[in-house]
Order: sequence, then structure tokens, then C-alpha cells
Amino acid sequence: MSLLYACSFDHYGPAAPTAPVNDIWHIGTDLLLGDGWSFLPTNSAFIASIYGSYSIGAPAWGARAGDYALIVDSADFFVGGSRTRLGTESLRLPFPGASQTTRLIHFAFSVSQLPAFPSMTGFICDFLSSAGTIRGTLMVDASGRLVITDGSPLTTNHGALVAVPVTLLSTAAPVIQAQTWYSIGIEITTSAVLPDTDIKVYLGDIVPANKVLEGFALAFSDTPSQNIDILGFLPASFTGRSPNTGDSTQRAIRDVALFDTLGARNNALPGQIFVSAQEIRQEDAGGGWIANPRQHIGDGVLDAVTHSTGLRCADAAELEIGAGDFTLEAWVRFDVLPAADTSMELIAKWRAADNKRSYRLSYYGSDNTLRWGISTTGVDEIVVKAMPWVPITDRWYHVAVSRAAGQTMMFINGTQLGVPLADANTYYNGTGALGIGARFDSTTTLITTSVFKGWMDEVRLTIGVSRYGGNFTPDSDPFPREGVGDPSWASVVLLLGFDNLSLADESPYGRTMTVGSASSPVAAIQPDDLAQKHNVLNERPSIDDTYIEAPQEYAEGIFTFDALPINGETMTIGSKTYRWVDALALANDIKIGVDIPECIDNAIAAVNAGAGEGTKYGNGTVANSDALALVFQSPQFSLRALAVGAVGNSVATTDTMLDGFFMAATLTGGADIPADSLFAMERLPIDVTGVLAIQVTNRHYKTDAGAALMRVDLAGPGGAEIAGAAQQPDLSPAWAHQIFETDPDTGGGITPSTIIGGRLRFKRTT
Amino acid sequence: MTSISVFVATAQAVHRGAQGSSLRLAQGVAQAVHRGAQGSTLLVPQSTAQVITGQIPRGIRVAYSTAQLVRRGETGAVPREAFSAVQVIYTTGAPAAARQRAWTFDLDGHTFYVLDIGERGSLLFDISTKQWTKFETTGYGGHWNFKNGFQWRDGGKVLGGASTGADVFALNPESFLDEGWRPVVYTVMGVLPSTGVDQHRQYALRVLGSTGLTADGEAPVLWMQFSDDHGASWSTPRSVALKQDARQRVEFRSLGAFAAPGRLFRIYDEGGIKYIATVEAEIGGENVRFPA
Repeated sequence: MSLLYACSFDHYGPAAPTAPVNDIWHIGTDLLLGDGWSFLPTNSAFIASIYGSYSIGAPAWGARAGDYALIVDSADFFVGGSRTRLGTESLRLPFPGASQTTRLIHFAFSVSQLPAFPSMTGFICDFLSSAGTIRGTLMVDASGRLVITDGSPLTTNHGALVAVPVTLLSTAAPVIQAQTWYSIGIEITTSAVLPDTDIKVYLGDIVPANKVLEGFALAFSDTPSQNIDILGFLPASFTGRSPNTGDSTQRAIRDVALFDTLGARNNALPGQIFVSAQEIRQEDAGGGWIANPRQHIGDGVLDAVTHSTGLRCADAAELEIGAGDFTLEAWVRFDVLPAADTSMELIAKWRAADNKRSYRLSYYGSDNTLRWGISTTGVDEIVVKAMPWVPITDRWYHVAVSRAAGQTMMFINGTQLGVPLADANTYYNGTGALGIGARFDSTTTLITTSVFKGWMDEVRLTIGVSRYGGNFTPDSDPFPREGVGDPSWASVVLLLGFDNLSLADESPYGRTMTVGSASSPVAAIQPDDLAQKHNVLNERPSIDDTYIEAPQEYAEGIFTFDALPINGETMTIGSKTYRWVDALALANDIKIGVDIPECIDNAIAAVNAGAGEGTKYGNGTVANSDALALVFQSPQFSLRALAVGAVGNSVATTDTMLDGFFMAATLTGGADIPADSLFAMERLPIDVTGVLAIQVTNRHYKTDAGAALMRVDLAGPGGAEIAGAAQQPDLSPAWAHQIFETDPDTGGGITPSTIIGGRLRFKRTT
Repeated sequence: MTSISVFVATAQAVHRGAQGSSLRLAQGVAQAVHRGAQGSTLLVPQSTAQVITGQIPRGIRVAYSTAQLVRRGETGAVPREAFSAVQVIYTTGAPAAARQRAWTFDLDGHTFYVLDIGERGSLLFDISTKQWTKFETTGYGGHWNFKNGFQWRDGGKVLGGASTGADVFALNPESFLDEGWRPVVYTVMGVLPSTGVDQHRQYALRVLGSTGLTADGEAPVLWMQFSDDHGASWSTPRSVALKQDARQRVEFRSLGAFAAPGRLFRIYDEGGIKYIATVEAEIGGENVRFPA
């Protein structure tokens, strides 16, 4: 390894300047923090006002060969009294890895105009110790000369210079012109014990004519650690003047690359180089990683994340369910789940303020349940169903509630959640508005404490018809919009597809839909990220809720009781057969409880060899070696294979019971880690003549605690591969890097052919 | 109490029983019609049809309720990749070039004499047409990355070496790509002559050719610039991203107006269309055709 880090700034996408908060300059959402960059420019001393901005964008004179650069525009301090410049007043980039005495630094620099205030403006880069102390500074002066100063105090008082650092080196002639990009290469070597520092600075290729600065044993500032471990780029200017009279320059950098001298390649100053951010595209074969885009059915979805303020239509007679059949369904994609003491309304005709409650489908964070709540009086709520379900965020689910002949069922992705429950209620005929992603009191009052935060698609309410009496496969196409495709079309009272950027109701009734907040409305969006896996990977700025993932599933099953077991009946789980008995006698006996919940409790205890040996299950019973029993909701309990993956699908689940049954003869749904996914790399810029290295910059996370390791490999055009280092995603999205400097096929350096014919392989290893 | 168990029903099962009776279908593939008193049970572990009940039974049990939906915890960690970019650290340009020996080759019926004169690049004299030209490779600062060429007549190839590295290249006039990956930029020019002082409004410039036949799956681009002063200055380049779609319409619109001395066009591409058949200019409401 010789290349330590590279940053083009192109991969962040544009990031507008954000107003300083708490005396810290911000850049958009500060997405770049964690991608090598550690701290934003800060007024740590808090005795100065700051103005100007930092952003990622294209300077008026261009971003060199790329799209964007880091730009500091007129960033300056307004100092009322005496103040000294600090090492915290720059965007800081620590060197990866161990502290070293020799540093090789490359970046491209440009400035809109030469700085007007000597010693106080024109800062390019601070050389910082590991503690963040300035040891030296590279800057450009008013004439265009490059200058290196030490880290002694730069102090101003009311805009007047009080003390300035010592100039250690200066170019003999001007070398920097305004609005021109320069490739700056710096080799800096420190002493382990003395402040003496050697430095060479090149502009452009590494030829003698381009060496504009060279000094030996320069008296950098003396700090406890003499090594340069942090670079402070584009420090804020320090004129001490008011915003109208201070620094007004724009300074910019890009193509940052840091090297060491330890490896076999790239272990010397590289000369004039560029860093480009290339997109990747999915191979035709695809691979097994699953893409989860925002786009779902059709071109549009409801965005209730940017503004979580819901959508509503006015009360109407056709929206009353009464005592009849109905089907309420929607595709939902949670961005976050409600906190433990809150809930989210998915679809609600629930005007609580004046007791006009009718029905609502809600998600409760208090017990992680999906609830179908209704009222027959408008006053009290009857929770018809409250089923345990913890949706995985940023994944689409089809959610449906349907009543057939007084039996209400709930479905997730077409799979019934729990068992049908008697529901002969006549739902209250209230005057509440029907809310989508929210509920409304009075006719218009948005209840902001229970809004849905996520995305929705294909919302349909059919009254008078139960569409689903058992498990089904949700339709991946838009619901029919006319009677030919839907025999129950006349019963559809609300249909929202959100396509064509429309919030319109497409049911036969064409209801008027109104956003819950005119000032911060929900909106139909067209994410346009459905077509290919790489569409979700190439968004700039990156979108953390769109991604590819590599799930590994346990096989699972459900046992359902209809009534109490009969003495002597058996159920088999894996290699073990359990016998229901009135009186325990042998190992693997399970005592028949007084009711179904007690039977469930005893069964779970027996399968897991939990508490209750000798009372709930027979002495000598050991834990099942194939499956784990889990609490679900009476009259059911669930099972999960102990072994993750498809192997669990062979765990037998059979019974001889009259009034109880497994959902299938084996556990189902177990899935192994999917096959690797291969991605080709975007064609190189047309003027490339040599490639030093590839840095794969990715942003990843995992859904839950637990093992989930992955890596990115480089496959050469000839098929040989270099395995990347293991990456361990965290629960929070974070940046990761993988650097390749060797062609897998030849063992030589990377070439354009390596990239054109090569592939990136995304592999989950654990 | 009576019980009926039907493990495979291929038609319909009709059940009428007393209170407490049970009807159980292990696999129903048609419909089950059930009429019984409250307390009876209808079991359908796997239903592929419909269930019709005359009265509310004690319970309808439709299985396949799945615990996968409720699982979430330590064992459910799934890695997600939300963004990925390849950052390539690259160089441009070529090392300082020394003069190379002169050489010659035949291609497409023309005989070329090559003078590689170091810093000034490679000058070629076409003996057939008596014209000088300059060959260069994009990115090489005006140099042709084809050094010390040699015509291998028996092999039917013209070969040359890379200016850096160990690659040997062969000339291929049919290729869209240099060095196997670098799109070759082809340029054509055309002119709309004008001698009067009247201004001509140009609504559009349409390019008709082999759209859809592009270098590869990468997004190729067709660029266009125009000059109203004999090429002394050029407009900002306008571009069309080419698709692998033979029906793609390539058109540049709202091109302003021009008068004498006319308008010069330069159309060039990066990995783009293989040939241009005609270029159509829509001027002042009239269609004016001219050869590309």
C-alpha cells in the first residue's frame, strides 16, 4: 500500500453552503465527514464572528477535469479584539494509518483572485500535528508566490496585524495565477525529536524545473509530536475585518491524494495527477445482491419523508365501511419506525377530537404492532387486530386489511399475519376526513404527532368486497383502473398511484385530495431508480435509503392451535418428536395446558428446554437441535431454524394433531448469502494516459446488530482477482475505502485495461 | 360430533353438520362450501380457491402466517451498500518525446509517410493526395501514441509501440476505440452560406445517421458547435447523449440567428454514431439541406 487516500469531491455531488451553526461552517449535510475528513472549519475560540462559506461545487472557472471542488468563498473572521489563528479553522484531513515522518501529498489548487491582505489571506493548507497544532502553513501571497511559514501565532487586533508567523520559504518568482488550476505535490519529512522539517514543493510533473520550493531543516513549530499527521485545507482567512472589507476570494481544491513511501508502487511524489469518480454499472448476470430502490410501481411514489404531513380527502358516504366486507391495502416503505411511545397512522378516518372515530390502520412503536382499530360509537376504540410486526426500514411492504363475512384478516406481502378474527362490528359513520399517512381532527387539522414517515404507493380502499381470503401474491403492477381488469372496480372508493407526479384519486369517484400542510406538503416524486441495481448506487449526493443488500435468512415456521391437543398426539420438529400428554412421563412429553396460551407456553419451553422441566415438559428433554421456538401471538407460536440459510428449509415440521397444524411440512424461507454481484466500471476520461490506482469509495451500513461482513474485490479482465479487505458495516451509514494498486492478472500496475475489462465484486462473507 | 377429513380435494366439499363438527381440508384446490352451526370448524391449511360460509364458524384457519415478518434482532443483520464510486487516480499527457525514425505504411489505399518529430507530434504525408496531416491520440498532448511504426505486410497489419509501457498497437480504421477503450473523436464540418445582410433565424439542426450504432454500452455523446465568423470563435458546445436506439432523434434547437458570412458547424462525437448521412438545418421556417 502506497496510496493512502484519494478524494475527487465529485463523488459527494454538489453541496451548497450551509449557514454556520455554533460557529462551525457547514457544507450541505456535511456528508463528507467520515470519508477521511474529520472536522469542519470551526471558530473554536468563540471570540470572533465568522462569515463566508464552504461548499462543494464548480468554480466559475471550472473544476479542473472533474465536476466539483471544495470551495471556500470569502470565509473570514471578524475579530473585535486580539485573537490568534488556530489549527481548527480549516477542513481537516488526517493521514490514514500510523504516524510517519515522511508525507507525500498531492492536491490541485486554484484561487479566484490573488489575495489582497498579506499574511492574513491566501492560506492553502496548514500542516498540523496529531494534536491539531499548526506546525507550518502553505499559502499564496498577493504577488502569486508560494510561501511556507511556521506555526507561530498570527494575531490580529481590530483588523491590525499584531504578530505574524515566520516566513521559512518563498518562491523566487510568482508561480500562481488567478483562476488557474495547479497540481501541487509536496514531500515533507519531519524529525522524530526536533522541529526541523524538510520540504519540497512541485507544481506539476516531478521535474527539476517544477520544483518551486525546497528547504531543509526548516524551523517548523515545535510540538510534542513533530510528525505532520493532519492536513488543514483551506483555512479561513484572518483579516479581522467586517464582511464587506475582508477577504473576498474563492479558493478551491480537488484531486487530493495522500501517499506513503512504504509500498512497491506509488511510493514517490506522483506529479500531475487527477482523481475522477467513476460510476459503476451492474453486469447483465446481475448477481444476488438485491436492490431496494425508492421507485416501486409505476413512475411515482408518495414522499412522506421530506415532509411528513399526510394527505386527506373529505368524508363521503362511500368511505363508510359499516358492517360489510372491505379491503384496505397499500404499499408502504418506512423510513423510520415510531418511537416507543408514539404511533404512525398509515390510513385513518379517525377524528378523535370530537368523537368521530371510524377506522384506522396504524403502526405502534410501543409494542411494535400493526393495528387495525375501529370504533362503533365514534368514542371508544376497538382494536380488532394488533399483530407483532417489525418492518425493516427502507423496504417496500404490501400491507392489507380485509374483512370477509365478519372475519378480519391482516396481510403483509400477501401472507396472513396471525389468524382471522371475528369482527362483526358496524364501523362508526363519522364525518372525519380520510387521511393517508396521517389522521386529521376536525376536517382539516393535521395531528402531527402520529404522521407516517416513509413512502407509499398504490393505496386502494375497496368497500363491499373482501379481495383476500387467504394468502396471495401482491400484484407488482398497478391496480386496474377500470372495470375490465377489476370486477370490483365499482367498489373501489379510493385509489392513489402517485404516478406522473400526481396526488389525484384515480377511483371512479375521483376524490379531491388535499395535502395536510400547504406550506410543507407531502409530494408525489419520481425517483427513477428502479431499472438497475447500479441506479441506487450512483446517486450523488448518496441516498442511504436506497441500496443493494445481501440478506441471509433463517428458515421459519408457524404452528397454529385450533383447540387443545389430545392426549397422545404428536408434533415433530426436526429430528425430535414431542408428545402431548395429560401427565408427564417421558422426555419430550409436553403437558397439555388448560388453554391454548398455556399449551403454547409449554411447547416453547419444551423445544427450547427452558424453565419448566418436569412441570411443563418431561424430565430429560434437551433443547431441540434444529429449531428455536419463539413467542408469536396466541393461538400461534413460531419456529426458527438454528442454522441460518437454506439448510433450515429441511427441518421437518409435521404433526398428528386434529386441532393444530404447522404451516408447512418443513420450515421455509431459509436463504443463503446471495451470490456475489459484479459491476463494471464507467469508461475512463478520454484523456487518461496512465492509472496509478483505484479507490473504491462506498457507503454502507447494516440493518441490525450481528455479523455482517462484506468486501469489495477487483477482478481483472483475465479473471484473476484481488480480494479486498473485510469491511464491517455499522448500524449507521458510513464511508469505506478499498484501494487497489495492482492488476490482478499481471501483478503489475493498474492500467486503463484493468478498469475497462475489470469488474468490482461485491461479496458478503459473513 | 362428526368429523370429515379431506386430504386432497379435487372438486368441492359440501359439509352440513351438527354443532361441534369439523371439516378439514389438507389441500383444497376448488371451493369448500360449509354450512354449520356456530362452533364448527373449517380448516384449510393451503387454500387455492375460496371459502364460502353460511354462518360464522368458530374459526377459519388459513395458515402461512410467517415469522419472517416479525423477526428482527441480532441474527438479522443485513449489509447494505448505499453508494459506490470508483475513484481513479490517473495521469494525462505523455513523457517528453524524442524524435523517432521516419516510417511509412499503407492504409485504405493510401500511402502515408510518418515524421515523428518529438515535441511537435507526428506529421503524416499522404502520398496519394499530397496532403499533410497530423495524427494524435487524445490525452497525449498532441502526440500520437503509436511509436516506431512498422508495416507487417505478411500479417496485413500496421504495428506501433506505446509511448509508455509495453503495449503494441495495430492500426484499425474501423474501430471506434483507441487502445481498446478510448473513444475516437470524429469531426465533421459544414457551412450554411449567407451573403446578405438579412438575419436568418435557425430553429434547429438535425443529424441523420446511424443512431443506435455506438461504440459500446457507455453513454456516448455527440457535440455541436457553430461559428458565425469563419471559425474565429465558436459557440459553447451543445451535446446530445446518444442511446443505443436506432430511432433516437438527434436535434439541436434554438440556435439563434446569423447573417453573412454564414454559419459554420462543427459536429464531433465521443464513442458516437458510426456515420452521418445528412444534416438538416431548419432556417426561417424553411428546410435547407446540405451535405454533411
